[in-house]
Amino acid sequence: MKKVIENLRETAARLLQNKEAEVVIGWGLGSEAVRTQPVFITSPDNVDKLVWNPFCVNGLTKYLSDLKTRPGKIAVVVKGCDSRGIYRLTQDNIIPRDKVVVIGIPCAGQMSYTKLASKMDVSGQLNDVEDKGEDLLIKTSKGDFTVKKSEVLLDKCLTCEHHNPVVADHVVGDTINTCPTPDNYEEIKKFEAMSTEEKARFWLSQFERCIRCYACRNICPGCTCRECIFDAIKPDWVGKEINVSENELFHLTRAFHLAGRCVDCGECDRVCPMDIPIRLLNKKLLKDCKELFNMEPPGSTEEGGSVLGQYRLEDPEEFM
Amino acid sequence: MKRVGVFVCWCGSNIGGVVDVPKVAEVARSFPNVVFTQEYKYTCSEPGQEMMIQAIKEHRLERVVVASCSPRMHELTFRKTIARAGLNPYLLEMANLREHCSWIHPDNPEEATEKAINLVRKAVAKVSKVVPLQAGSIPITKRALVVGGGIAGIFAALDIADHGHEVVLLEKEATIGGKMALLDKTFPTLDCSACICTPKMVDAAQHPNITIMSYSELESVSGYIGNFDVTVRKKARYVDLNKCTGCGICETKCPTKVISEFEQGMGTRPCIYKPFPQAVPNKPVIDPVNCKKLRDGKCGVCARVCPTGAVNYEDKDELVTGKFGAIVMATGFELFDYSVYEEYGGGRLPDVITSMQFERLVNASGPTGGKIKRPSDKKIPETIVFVKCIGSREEVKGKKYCSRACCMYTAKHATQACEKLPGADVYVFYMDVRTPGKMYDEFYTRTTREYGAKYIRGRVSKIWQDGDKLIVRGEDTLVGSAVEIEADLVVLATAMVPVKEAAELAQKVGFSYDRDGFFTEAHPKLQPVDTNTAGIFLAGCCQGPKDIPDTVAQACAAASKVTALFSRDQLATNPMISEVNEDVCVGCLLCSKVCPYKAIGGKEIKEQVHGQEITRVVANVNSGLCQGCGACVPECRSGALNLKGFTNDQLMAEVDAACL
Amino acid sequence: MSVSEKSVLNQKAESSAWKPKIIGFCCNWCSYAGADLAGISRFKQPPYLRIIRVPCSGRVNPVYVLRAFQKGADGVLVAGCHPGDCHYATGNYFTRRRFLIFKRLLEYVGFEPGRFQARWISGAEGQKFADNTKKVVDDIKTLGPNKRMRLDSIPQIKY
Repeated sequence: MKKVIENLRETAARLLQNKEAEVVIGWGLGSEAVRTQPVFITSPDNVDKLVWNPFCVNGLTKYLSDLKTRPGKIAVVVKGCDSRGIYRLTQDNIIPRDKVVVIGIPCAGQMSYTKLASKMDVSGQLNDVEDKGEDLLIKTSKGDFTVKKSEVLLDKCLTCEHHNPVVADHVVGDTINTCPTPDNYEEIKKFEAMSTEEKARFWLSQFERCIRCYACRNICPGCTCRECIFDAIKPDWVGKEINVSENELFHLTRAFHLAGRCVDCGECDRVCPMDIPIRLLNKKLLKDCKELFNMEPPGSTEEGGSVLGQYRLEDPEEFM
Repeated sequence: MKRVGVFVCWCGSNIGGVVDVPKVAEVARSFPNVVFTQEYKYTCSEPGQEMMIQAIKEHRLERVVVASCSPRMHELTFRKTIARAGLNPYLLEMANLREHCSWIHPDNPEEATEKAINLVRKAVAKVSKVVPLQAGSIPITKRALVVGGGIAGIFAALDIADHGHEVVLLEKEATIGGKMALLDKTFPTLDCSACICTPKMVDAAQHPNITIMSYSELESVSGYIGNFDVTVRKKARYVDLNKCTGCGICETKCPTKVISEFEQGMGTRPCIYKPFPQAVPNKPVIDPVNCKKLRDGKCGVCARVCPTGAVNYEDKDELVTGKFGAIVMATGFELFDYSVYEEYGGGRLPDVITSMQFERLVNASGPTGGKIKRPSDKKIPETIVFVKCIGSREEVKGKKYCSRACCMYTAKHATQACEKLPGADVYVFYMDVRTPGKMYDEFYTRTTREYGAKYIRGRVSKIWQDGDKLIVRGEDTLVGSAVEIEADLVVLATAMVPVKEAAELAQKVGFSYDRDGFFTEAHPKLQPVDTNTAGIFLAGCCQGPKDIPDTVAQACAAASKVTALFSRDQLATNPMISEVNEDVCVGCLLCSKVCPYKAIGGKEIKEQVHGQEITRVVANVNSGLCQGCGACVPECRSGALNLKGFTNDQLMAEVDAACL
Repeated sequence: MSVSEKSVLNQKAESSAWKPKIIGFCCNWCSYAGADLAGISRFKQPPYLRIIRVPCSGRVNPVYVLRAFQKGADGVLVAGCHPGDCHYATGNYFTRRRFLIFKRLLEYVGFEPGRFQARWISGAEGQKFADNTKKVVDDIKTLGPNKRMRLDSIPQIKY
């Protein structure tokens, strides 16, 4: 891990020094021991703020959409899952590929803050993390803690298609050779098997809680419209009132807008302050697009686009 | 607020006999924006239209709802009516009270009336949101490009040229004439193919309005109806057409002889050659693959013997651009490669030939001078077997479709064989005999009754060589027994397939093609020569297998489509097309991927952001190409794209009203 | 009469008075023409389908379907040309993909199968149009009134 951090800082410093990038977006230490926060480094003198540890959960690619009009190139640090967002943005013409310098870090999995917080005092400052095989030794200003990795791993990391970034101009860290574990959608199948009433009860209880903060949209590398229909007044695509009906319209429409385009980074799910399992909607769409249209995971290759913007004559027929 | 008038029609008793029309009119008066309602027996009649015009003027109506029959029936009528009253014709909406209401609910007047009220409410809601639309106009370049110089292309070019328009006739081979130039005789009249085809080739060459670009291929096409920008690759001929007189000395002196494509592999030609003696233009090209001079720099005989110094070994491909108002695709067909059928020898048995090879064998100008001799030993065959449907109507290795012309040309071949080889046995294996066409069935009847060709209904399972005989094993399904025939020559009626480059060409020009690579007509019945891209028309076998009369008919139809288009200087465009709200468009161009007409592209715009000028890309709809389907609109997540006449807010207003 | 008896009676009265409201999006060239042909052929149909004309089924945004449910529709139908017959060549192939996915999404979150339907009906299929209308109406009658997403019957949120 230390070597990766050194490498990362060296790479960032070199890029900034040589003007190969005007800014490097990465992770810095956060307010608590097992949190990190996005940092924007513009000077080689500040690269020491960059860190890499198992708490770098935030996807940073969406910042490219915000910063695209900045002069010069933008460097961004990505994990495997985030890296698919790069191709989402380039395929959607949001930012030209040559404007981005991708610093990729192979990632064996990230740790859930919520899970860690139930096992240790997270309120201190992080001093060091040591990988002890199955365990993680987390040294903080409030003491040292040993946690079992398998108990605190983010759910999304249990199934991981890309431990190594799908795109990177500079790779820091060693390639991870463990076999990818693509999702076989067991969880979605469970939901599909529920009765109509059970499904309705479950989802209405989820949609009901939504406060329409739109954090799920704001973090998403696939949600890059200049004006989102959920903000538009004319036409009134969705009522601005917060109630279960308008909330459902919002969630289903948001999900559908990502159908065939969602890169499954899971960020929407993570950022939801109401813990609405948004990813279950995205996953359902991923599963259906794969089963019906043989879709490859969106964002895993440079070429692509929206699978709903394509067709094959021999697509499944149900409407005859 | 818009002043909406609602006109409810009785349509005699068609609507009024079921729906309570006065009630519909009365309730409609209470709808938002409605300031006037009227009912009348026949709104579409002249007095009905006059009343509407009066009402529009008198009540200063700004939007009109006509509640009558289907808009597919009278939308155009009432658009013209309100235009006569001074309104923009697109400020109209119709409620379909007849086809969608009174006619289907005759036993339920109460609920039919309720539904009619709802349909009117929906129309009022939509019409309150519509805006005036203006039809645009685009200029038309009155110059046509015909791609393919076979009989279809020649006829299309001649007809367009006769109307006084310039035509460029593009041909990839060194001569025009296409497949018809290969044929010996034509069914059902048995007149000589060359005698009717070559004069037309000459007509095309001599026509003041036609420019033939032979040995040239389509490189790229952009633009839209009336305004296509086309680049053509003129392949290097190595012979200067301006200097060459076509005397032919070079051909006789060329020392390298190769297999002749024109003779279907059964004859030879030199490396500087005209494909056949009546070629148009009647000037040779050099085959760069086989020419010794071009290959190894050794030889140069043709240049030495040429009296005018027309041979130029340094010749290069040349790109030529031009602007055209319409394009006729007439790229024809080729034969299905039957070597996939191992059971028929996989193409390795010398005396199993295609029907096109047979055409050359019976042709007086062919490699045998018109004597039917089999390729292997030049022996005159005593038993000939024709096998139909090779690759046609066969889904496993061949094509699903029927090639349409084979039944007739096989009858022709059988007749010719019987005529030229008296006493010979002529067999035809067939699945069905399809002879729809003037004098066709009569011809077939003659083939069997007068000439004595023996037709056997059944498929051939295997053909193999046994000594100097070919054994043809098949089944006679009428008798229900196996048959084996010892033949000297077997002729396979192979399927017609599109030319190899058909799909690529369709993509290049921008229209659709089917799974077999045939170009798709816009409508199988009503638009048989249009493509789904305006300004591009189809003629001949590129659209599907057909015989010469059908090909010529289609070519003339395509030409008349072109001349109809060229009869105007400007083309009015449909105003109900997609438009982009550039402020909202993020430039992802996902919309462009779904457009069937390639009508959406990206365009750079400049704008000020925090005092700094930035350039960004937005979607741009080409009004000449967009046909107004609106498939792109749901693809736009932000609603930056809209279809005029069917906008998001109009359709949502309809949904809201329909649900009340 | 007890309170519960009354409410049962009320419910019955309510359900017998209930008439399904079905919104149909029909493409101009095939399904709308098919509906016209059904009319011309006088094929009787239950009067509960309200047709919104669109140029192509590819024009239908799935959001409209959700909106219809919000505004009180009991069922929604999207109808277009048969694949391969689209007036605009390929528009309905996108319709097919969009609504294969969208229908599954609706059912995944607990919409009853049948609330949303899609059909290919050509301009020549007047009979099919009429039969399909009957079928959709029957399906929706079996399902009963739609409550899901209806804006006029949002359950009170308890704070």
